[in-house]
Amino acid sequence: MCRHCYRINPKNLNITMNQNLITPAEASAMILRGDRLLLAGDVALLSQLPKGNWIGGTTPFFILYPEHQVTSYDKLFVTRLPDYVLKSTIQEYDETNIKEIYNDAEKLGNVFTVLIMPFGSQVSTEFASNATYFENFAGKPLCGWVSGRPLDSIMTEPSYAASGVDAKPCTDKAFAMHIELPDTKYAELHIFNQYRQGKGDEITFDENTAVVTNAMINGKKRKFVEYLQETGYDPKLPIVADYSGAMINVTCCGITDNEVFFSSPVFKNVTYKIAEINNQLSEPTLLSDTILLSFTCIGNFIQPDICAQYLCKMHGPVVYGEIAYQLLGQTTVYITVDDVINVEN
Amino acid sequence: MIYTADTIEKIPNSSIVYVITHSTDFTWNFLALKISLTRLNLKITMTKDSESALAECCTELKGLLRKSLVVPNAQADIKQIIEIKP
Repeated sequence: MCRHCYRINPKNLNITMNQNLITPAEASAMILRGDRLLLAGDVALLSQLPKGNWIGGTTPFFILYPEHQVTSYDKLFVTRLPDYVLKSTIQEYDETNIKEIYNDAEKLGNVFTVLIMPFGSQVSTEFASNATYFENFAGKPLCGWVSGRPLDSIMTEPSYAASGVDAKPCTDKAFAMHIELPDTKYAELHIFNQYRQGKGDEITFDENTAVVTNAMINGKKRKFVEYLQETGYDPKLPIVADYSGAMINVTCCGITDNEVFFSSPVFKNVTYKIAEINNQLSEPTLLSDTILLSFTCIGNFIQPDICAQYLCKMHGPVVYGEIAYQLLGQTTVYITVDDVINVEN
Repeated sequence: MIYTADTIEKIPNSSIVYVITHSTDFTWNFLALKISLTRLNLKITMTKDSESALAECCTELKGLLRKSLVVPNAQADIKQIIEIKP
């Protein structure tokens, strides 16, 4: 097969020429010729792939121009890493060794890392809760995603991650690809967030937890469910923390009589506010033509206006939690690779 | 102006501590710095400004900046840090 046969009409791709939906047979051919691939699709498709330089995870949803919102159970979304990549190293993580991920990247030089973790796995819980405490946190760019399933079966059916080391999808392990760049290039992570902190009450919590009973509202302890009911909270809105200018969302995924469930933990001593839509956004692809990868949260995917207006050219899998150094929600994470500026020392 | 590892070493720790503890007063460009500043601010808060925690935070932030010298957004943030007079 020609090296570029899998490509679709270039007129339809203005992010990178190396992303598309392909069949498992096409993906297998690319793997066997030595391409370095990041893959997303149904577990039955990932299970057909040979060993090689790839990692992948399950999702049936993708953003691919010009359709914007694509669902596929018979094709895999592939990102073929560019030829300037010097080396890729695949590592397997579980809840006991995920704390080493930044250290592992640190040992490898000029790398960025892509991590895929199954939804509901212990390793994803450990990462969500403690990534910011890992040694060498944020020392190297770390992006990635939580794999999943259609929303109606996400809680009842398993989600998978896989790698080309043994080519067997699993539910309890995460896989990372540490991707080494030449010294002439650098990778940088970015977050596209349609939300920002609203102008309402300051919300804090007295522990790191994804299941909240009580919260401090402007310093006063309240039953959080009661507070949300009183204020007419819309559960589609995340709560948002301001990390020195980076808006970090925490997604609400359920409210019972007594508890509020979030998709990732809220943190003690961090101030949150209920989100409002940020009307001063720019389409990421207008800011950079060097986007290599992107991962869009399912929470954005189910909002057609957002996809059409801002994300239609952000090719990539739709995910159940996206990673930019730490786990995020309801954002799009993307990574750019550019030429370095000269630094003498 | 392109800032180097020497530049980072010469930034007084007092400036670094000020940047961490007043991180939301500035507009930062580099995502890793934004997230790290908040993390370090929390560390200082939770350790009640202990001397050892302050020193660790300075070392960590300078380390991050040193590793990020090739990133233009980091260079822009280094410029801002250098100009801060606590």
